[in-house]
Amino acid sequence: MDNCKLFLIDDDSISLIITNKFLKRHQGFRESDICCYSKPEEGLESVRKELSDENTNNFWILLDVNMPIMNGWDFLDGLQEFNSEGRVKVIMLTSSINDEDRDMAKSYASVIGFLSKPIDEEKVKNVYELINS
Amino acid sequence: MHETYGKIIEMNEQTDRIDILNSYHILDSDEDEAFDNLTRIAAKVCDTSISLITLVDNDRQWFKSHYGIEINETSLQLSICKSIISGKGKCLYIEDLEQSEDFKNHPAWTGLGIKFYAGFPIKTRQGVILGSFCVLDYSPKKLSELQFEFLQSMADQAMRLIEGHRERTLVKTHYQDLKRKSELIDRGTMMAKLGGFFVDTNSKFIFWLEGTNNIFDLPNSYNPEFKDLVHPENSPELSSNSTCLAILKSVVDNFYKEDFTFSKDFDSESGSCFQVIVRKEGSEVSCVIRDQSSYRKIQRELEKSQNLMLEVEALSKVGGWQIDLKSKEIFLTKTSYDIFEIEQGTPLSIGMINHFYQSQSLKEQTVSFANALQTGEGYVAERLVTTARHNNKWVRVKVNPILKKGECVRVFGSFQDITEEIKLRKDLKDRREKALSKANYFQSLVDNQSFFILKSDFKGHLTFANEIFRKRYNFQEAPNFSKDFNLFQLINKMDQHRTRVLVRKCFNDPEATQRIILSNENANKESLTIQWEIKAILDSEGMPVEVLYMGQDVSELYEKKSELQNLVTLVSNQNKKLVEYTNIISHNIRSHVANLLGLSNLIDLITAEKDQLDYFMLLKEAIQKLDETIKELNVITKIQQQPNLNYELVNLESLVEKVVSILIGDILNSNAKISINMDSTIAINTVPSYLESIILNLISNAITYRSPERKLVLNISAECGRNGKLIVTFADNGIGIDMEKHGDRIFKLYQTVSQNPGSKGLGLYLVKSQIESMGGEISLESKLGIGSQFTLHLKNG
Repeated sequence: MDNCKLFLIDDDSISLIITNKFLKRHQGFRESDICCYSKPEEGLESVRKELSDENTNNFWILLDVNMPIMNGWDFLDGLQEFNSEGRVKVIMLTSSINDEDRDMAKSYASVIGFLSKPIDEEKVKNVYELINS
Repeated sequence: MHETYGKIIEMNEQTDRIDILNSYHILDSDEDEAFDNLTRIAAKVCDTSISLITLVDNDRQWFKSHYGIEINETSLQLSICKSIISGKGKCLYIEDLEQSEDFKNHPAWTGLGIKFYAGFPIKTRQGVILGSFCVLDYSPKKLSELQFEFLQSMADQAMRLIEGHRERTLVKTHYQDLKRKSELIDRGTMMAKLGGFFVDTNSKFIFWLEGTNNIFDLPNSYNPEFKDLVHPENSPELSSNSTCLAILKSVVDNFYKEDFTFSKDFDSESGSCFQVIVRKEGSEVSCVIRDQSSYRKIQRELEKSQNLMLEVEALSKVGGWQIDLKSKEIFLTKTSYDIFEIEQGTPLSIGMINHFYQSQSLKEQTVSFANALQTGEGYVAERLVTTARHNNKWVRVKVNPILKKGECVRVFGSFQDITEEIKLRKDLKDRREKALSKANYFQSLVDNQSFFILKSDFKGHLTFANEIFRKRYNFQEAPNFSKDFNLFQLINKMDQHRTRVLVRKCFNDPEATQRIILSNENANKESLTIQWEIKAILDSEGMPVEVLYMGQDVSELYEKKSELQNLVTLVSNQNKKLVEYTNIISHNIRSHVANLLGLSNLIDLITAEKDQLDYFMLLKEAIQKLDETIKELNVITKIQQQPNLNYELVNLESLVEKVVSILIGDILNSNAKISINMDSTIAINTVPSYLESIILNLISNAITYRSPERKLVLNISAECGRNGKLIVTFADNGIGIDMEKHGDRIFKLYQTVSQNPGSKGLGLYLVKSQIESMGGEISLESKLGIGSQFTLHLKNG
């Protein structure tokens, strides 16, 4: 998992596949750029490792909200502990149509975007723009 | 003359003579030297043994002087002198009684031995013979011419002496008379407090009444001389009393005026009062001084009391009246006149008085009056009159008839002007009526059927409770509002302090109203919630004296409130459920749907058949997951919506064993040890399917989340708790849960707490729903790495 530019964190395997596929179809993203984690704890650990390496550039996370044991918010709380420089940015990805989730997202400084599933070409373009802005 | 012994018969002549004799007051008078000289000389001159001056009474002869014998009287029998009385003035000369024809048998000779007698009559100027002057002897004698003449002159002389005696006696008597009179005058005047004097200005004679000394406090028996009277200022005695001085001076001033009579009153400073009457006739001036002090005092007292009476009469407006039925005279006191507004002293008649009565009163009065005269019984009545000045007055008339021998002769009574009184009476009646109607009005307010009204003092001693309160709290009659009964006793202990505090506040801030809501039970064990307003009652000076409580029964409201609250709770629970559903929908269902959408999007982009197949498999999976979720939702919804659960009595131990046998495969596979610790008789009224599902879920969980490091030991125990609840515990030594992290989510929907593929996050939610729908509770204690304990509180039926 070297130099992953984009972390995908979602416990739903089907959802991961869909998101992964759509991202790869976009020219901006290479397969090696993307790392998938169905266990958020593992994902968080990887992120931490990446951040501890000063050489790495900034990178992004596409984060699902609804996950068992550690949900999206728990992840963000954990992330905050070592993301003080703001090198990691997070885009929330959720199947939720609940407005509360959007508001919750805004309260985290590392969150730069909020998208609802399912992802499609359009949304991938958004992601790309967000990342490259 | 006929000789007779004893009384003399010729009365008239003799009677006159006796009177004349008596008028000389000589009989039985004292011995007199002058008389005795005569008899002594006569005896010597005539040379006889005996010489007498005899006075002849009607039954005796009495000797004014007796020489020669000791006796001073004898009976007429022995008297020779008596013959002289009838002898017409001739003397009687008997030389020898024995030889005398007339006298030889005379007791003077026969009894006493008198032989010689010579007596000459003692006669008045009118010739009335009183007695004789005589000489006697025991032997016969002859008298010479000279001796005869001598005796004659002796007799004359005796008469002179007798006359002189009479004069003297008269004078003496007179004098004694005068003296007595004078004494009487003195005593009388003193008693009558009279004083005064008589003067003759010519002769300067003054007669001073002793009483004068008395009334002026002059020395007793003081007797001024004429010159003292004329210049009383020079007399120390007379000038000692200033009033006396003034009186005398004023009298004396008139001494030399013309004849007059005057009367004058003198008042001294000391309050004494003297009336002086003076009369001058020629040179004679008589003055009478009368001390009228006490009389005047009495007069003044009388005046005073009369004035007082008048004043009292006037003040009390009571006047008296009297009718003499015989003479038809009517007498009215001043106030009575005033009442009828007639001039005092106007002559009255019964008709006039009746005229004053107004018609109805006149009728009544006529009847009552006549009745009173008949029966003699008095009465009192109130009458309406029109006075002489045409004013209307109410008069209280009292009538008292006086009967004499059954007949009414006099009636008396009183009139009292009671116009004011009647007016006041009417006023009072009006006010009373007003007050009464006000009181009734307030009473009806107080006895309303909606508000409780109470009064107490600041210590809580009840002084008033209105009817509705008494009824609700079942005071059949007014309770003894005694010192022992305290209002606060009716209040729950918890609220008592609060209430007392508020009552205290009322006292400190009398203007403010305090409010409190109290709930308690009345006598019928009905729960009452009452909203009270408490305020201090002030007295006329604005000081708080009592507490007023006004209470409104809000029990119904409160019931509704708690119903409402229940409803609200229910609704909010439902709301929570709805939120959960929203969550479910927004997350779980949506996620599957999102996946479906995503897959369908991808499929459009994928051309390779193999890839397409993969995606169809994924699609299938997603659909299945969706279906399952929806089914689970259905189950949950059913639980929530079950209004009528079918309760049955179930033996707990057998139910647990049943579930164990269902799961026996998993139990054996996991090599778990399950121990059941409960009283085998424990039975619970419950919904069997739910309880079975609950036990199934919990045991499955325990097996699923067992620790890989040790053999699962699961303890299922049950015991009866308080209030009929059944407490069932499932204690395992599994992996445990981090309660800090996940404690609040454990029973929530789709909140799985482990990565175990079997955990969908539904089981515990279901368990909780089922328990709660039966009215029970579930709680969890757990330690990560140690184990977990689920505790169920189940309602028994």
